Amino acid sequence: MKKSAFTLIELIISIVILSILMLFLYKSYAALNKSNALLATETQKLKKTEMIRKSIYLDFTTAISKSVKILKQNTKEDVVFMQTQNSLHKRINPYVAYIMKNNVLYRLESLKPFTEYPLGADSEFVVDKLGAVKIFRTYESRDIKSELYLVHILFKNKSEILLKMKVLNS
Amino acid sequence: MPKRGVSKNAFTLIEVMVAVMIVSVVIAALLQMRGDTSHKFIGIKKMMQTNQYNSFLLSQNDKYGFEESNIDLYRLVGNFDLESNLRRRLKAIKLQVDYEELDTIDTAEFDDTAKATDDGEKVQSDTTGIVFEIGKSILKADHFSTSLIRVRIQ
Repeated sequence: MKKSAFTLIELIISIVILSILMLFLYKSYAALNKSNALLATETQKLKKTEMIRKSIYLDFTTAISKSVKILKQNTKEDVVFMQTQNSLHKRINPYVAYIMKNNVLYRLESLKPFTEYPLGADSEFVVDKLGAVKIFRTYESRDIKSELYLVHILFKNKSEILLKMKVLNS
Repeated sequence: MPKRGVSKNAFTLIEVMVAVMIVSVVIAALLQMRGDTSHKFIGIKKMMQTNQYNSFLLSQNDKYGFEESNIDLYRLVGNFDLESNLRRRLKAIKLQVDYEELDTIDTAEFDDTAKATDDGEKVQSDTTGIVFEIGKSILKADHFSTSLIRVRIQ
């Protein structure tokens, strides 16, 4: 009977081996958790960029013909006014403005036309924050009749939107 | 207890080695799985980034996209006065544009007004059919490729 029992040395060795194995397993588990959290935030970022891309695409392609106005501020910043059929707030043919303030891009939606920048004190609108950006530029094709626009947005998180669009109502 | 029974209870060296091997294979597989997901995610992210270059083929009026050509990305947006940094970046991306015809649909085939003559041949009706050509334009660069399904009306 005495022979079949484990000795202390055997037990200690097995515990040491087990703990080393557990250590590696735990490390792998922790890394998995960390990468999962990272993937979740990155997916969220991608989702947001896709949403912004969709909104910009719909705004420009369904814009009312000749309503897009680009006010150039500097080499990294533009202000865009337009009237479009696309609304994020269930309005019919709203007036939309894309403006950049303190390196954050906003989309404004209103039932009254935007005429001047900086906006007048009596203007009413709904604001959607699109995120921190480094560059927001809108280019118009040299052939103005074709109503082609190229939007370039470089976000602070390094994702980029570079989209060429045509106003379909023209 | 007899001596034979004692030797039966102990693990042999081979048994222990096999067990260790199995455990290490499982751990290696776990680590591999993690590497795979992040690799695939980076791939998807890059794909979403490059897919938007497809929009550059818009309104090219048959100049680019319907035949094979070697150009740089800036040529597709040449009629925009781009900021110099962006222009330089787009110029650096060399592209190969391929067009692949996938299918053609002739609406005349579905035309009921076309009458069959006595010898069975169909006679073209007054309403001329429209031919839809479905094709695929592929933009190939060094580090990515992206494609767009297009319909051309003939």
